[in-house]
Amino acid sequence: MGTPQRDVKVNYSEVQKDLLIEQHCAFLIGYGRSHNTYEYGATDYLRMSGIYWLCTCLDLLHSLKLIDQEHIIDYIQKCYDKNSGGYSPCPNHDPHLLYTLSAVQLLVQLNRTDLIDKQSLCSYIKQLQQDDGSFIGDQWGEIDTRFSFCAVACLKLIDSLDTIDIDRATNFIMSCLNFDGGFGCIPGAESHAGQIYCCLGFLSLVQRLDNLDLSTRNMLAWWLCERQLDKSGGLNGRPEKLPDVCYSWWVLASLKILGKIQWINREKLSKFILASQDDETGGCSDRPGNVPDPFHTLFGIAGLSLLNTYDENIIRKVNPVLCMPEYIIQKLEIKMQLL
Amino acid sequence: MSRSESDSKSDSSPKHLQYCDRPEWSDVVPIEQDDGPNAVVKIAYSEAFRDTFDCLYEELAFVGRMIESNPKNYQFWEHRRLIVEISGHSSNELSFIASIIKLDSKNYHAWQYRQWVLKTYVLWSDELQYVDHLLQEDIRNNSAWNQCYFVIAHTTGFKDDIIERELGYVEKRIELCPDNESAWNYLRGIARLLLASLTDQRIWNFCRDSYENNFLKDDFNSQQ
Repeated sequence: MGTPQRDVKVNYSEVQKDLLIEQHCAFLIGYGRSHNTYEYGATDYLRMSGIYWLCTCLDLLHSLKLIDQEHIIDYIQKCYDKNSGGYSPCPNHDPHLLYTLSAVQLLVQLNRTDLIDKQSLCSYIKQLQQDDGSFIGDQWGEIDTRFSFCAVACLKLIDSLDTIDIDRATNFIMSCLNFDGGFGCIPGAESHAGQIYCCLGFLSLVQRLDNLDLSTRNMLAWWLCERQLDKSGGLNGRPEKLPDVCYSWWVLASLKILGKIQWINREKLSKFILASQDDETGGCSDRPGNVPDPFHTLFGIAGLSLLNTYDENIIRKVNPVLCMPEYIIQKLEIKMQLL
Repeated sequence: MSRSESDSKSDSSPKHLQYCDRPEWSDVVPIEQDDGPNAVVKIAYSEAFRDTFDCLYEELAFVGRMIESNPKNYQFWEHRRLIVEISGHSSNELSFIASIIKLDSKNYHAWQYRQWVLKTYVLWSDELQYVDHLLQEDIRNNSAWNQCYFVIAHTTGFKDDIIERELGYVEKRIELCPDNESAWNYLRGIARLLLASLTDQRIWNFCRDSYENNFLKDDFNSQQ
């Protein structure tokens, strides 16, 4: 039979089974305040996204009021690069599309879109689009389907999608479709759940999911539900990799977009996410027993939201495309395609 | 090789300060360009050329060390790509990437970068052999299966005789390890290219036999 499927051993009789809301809130708030730790310094380069993960997770847990809004808005302003029109992860760092999206998501969430220079932001994103429709992340030229997603997500949030060449952008995304029905970061690159989420999210936002024929959609949905591992119940990102809580987001949201979320065993995955909580510090880690961080905490909670494991009074409904609380997306009347 | 012998503008320009003399490059130890004792054409490199390229070699060595200690950092790989692009020094890349893949056979960045090197410098000739070697080490390596498809798509293409060959290749590997998702995905991926595949008796028989031999057996079911 060959080697057994790669997975982790989880002792389900001994792990955490309850949702540790208060501990997660304390963990997230504490993380944002611990400026003198090594981790804080070492994560300068992604801080804007870190704040977005924190705030989104707190909001999903009905606890956004715990944050210092003014402090965060001030920080975002300090990260604005008026030369390019983009946002940096941290003051004195280069602006980048990834952190521009996080900044815009935060300003939308905190109801301060008045602070966004729309024209400047649109021109920043427009000049990142390449001739083949792809997007570079910054002046240094890296191309990745993640950046295509960031570009359209930003523009959708400020209702300016027609800034870019949507046809070309879509053609580039479709050129990253692989033989197994998945998507990679550039044409030919291996299918990966994170990239699949970005490509499906892109197609959903530009409302062109019909570019995927029925056979491809089914093949992709099958590939995605194969991410669930038998023993642990967790999801991996591609075949023969270990399960990781963040794939509870990338895979689940993708299946939600495709209208096939029921192809995942809900109970088993919920158990895996809950088992990955840290009952001493709060927060979630990538898998049971490891060190928690805000990234995995958000995607664990967001995953539980998609699974409807808890009532909306406990975890708010999350939008599967933009990974923001659904009430915000509804308020802005942002339309996207879900199959 | 037709590198121009000197960057004459910068040689004679009084404003050009060599990298080795610039304070901000003071921590960079240049590695001298060495064409070896038996170079077909002995190139008289200009000072400016030497200066730039020695620094680029050092930069390549530096980013190589960074990648070895942080193989999942996007920026390091991207930086290496820029240096290789500027310098044209690509001859070491496949073996460098292979050394990273040896440490982590599924490193997404390494494989993506490898695909760029293969395409840009047209280095396809030994790649299928390399992939086969990796699959012998780990038949479930999804990155290697993806690379199979990538190489064929960019070289011979999936002509009928190639599809036949690949069907034989993947069927043998499924027999060795019947619950290997990557191999089945590959089989389906190439079978779809064959117009007749839906009614292809051979593929149908193979699937039916595999199911009956492996998945109906008692010892398989008792493992579940």
